[in-house]
Amino acid sequence: MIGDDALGPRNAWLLLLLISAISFGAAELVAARHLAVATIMGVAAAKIAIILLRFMEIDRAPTGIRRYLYGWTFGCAALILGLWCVSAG
Amino acid sequence: MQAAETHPPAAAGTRRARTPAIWIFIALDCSSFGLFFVVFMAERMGQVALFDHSSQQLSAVLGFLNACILITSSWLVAWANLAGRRGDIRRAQRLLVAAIAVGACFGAVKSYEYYEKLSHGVTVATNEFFIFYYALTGIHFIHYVVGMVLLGVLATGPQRYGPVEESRAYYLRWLEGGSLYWHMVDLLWVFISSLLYLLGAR
Repeated sequence: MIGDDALGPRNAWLLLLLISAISFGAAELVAARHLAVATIMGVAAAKIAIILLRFMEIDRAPTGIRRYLYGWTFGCAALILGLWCVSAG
Repeated sequence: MQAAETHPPAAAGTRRARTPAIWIFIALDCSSFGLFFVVFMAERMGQVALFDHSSQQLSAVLGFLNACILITSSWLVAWANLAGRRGDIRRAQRLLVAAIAVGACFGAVKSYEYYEKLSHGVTVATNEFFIFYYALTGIHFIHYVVGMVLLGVLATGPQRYGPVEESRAYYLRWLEGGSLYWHMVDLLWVFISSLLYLLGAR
């Protein structure tokens, strides 16, 4: 289990760079587009969640705002993925 | 009246605390961009081949590079915020200057990309994908410029805000607000770069 300190701003930064590279690699190298797009949107949602949690310290924000922004993040990612799948047939 | 005396506002705890305006602004701004993303995907459904072909004309490497630049700048700002809270204002200022220097690279890359596209005749009139490309990246770029100005003002330190103790508290509030704004610029780019550069890549 990853401890609180291990996900401090510096480690969050390194993690963000790493998963950005995974997303870029999936877009450029993965031939199975469903898998590639699922990875891209999954990574996008994870990156935003990390930014909210570790850089913006959203835990200090009011509960309503916190729920809304998490909902926005995962809702947008799911909607984009869903619409992409519908258009892909 | 009696209820107010029984439950004084101060005893209501943090749950009743006023929501800082910056959080409301961030939620509203993200909502606007969210609508943009949905409209982009809805338009794409009718013209998948055109959108994918147009996306392939963008450099995914530049999109990735800009993501790394904003992540790094955002991290430096988060670090500056922590330094400020610990009372090390000088360090916070130095970190903000570093964040501005790194952030400036985003502007340079984006300007190069706009120049490269426009010099090849790719404009908003080219097709629907590029209307979205210029609209999304253009509005984001305005946010970016505002963020850079904010960071620039914050990097000058608390002197301008009045007497030392008061100015320090006031400065820290602004530092936190400015940091949150800059992180929002970073997180919006995550979705924008995924939509425009990555979904239609290859």
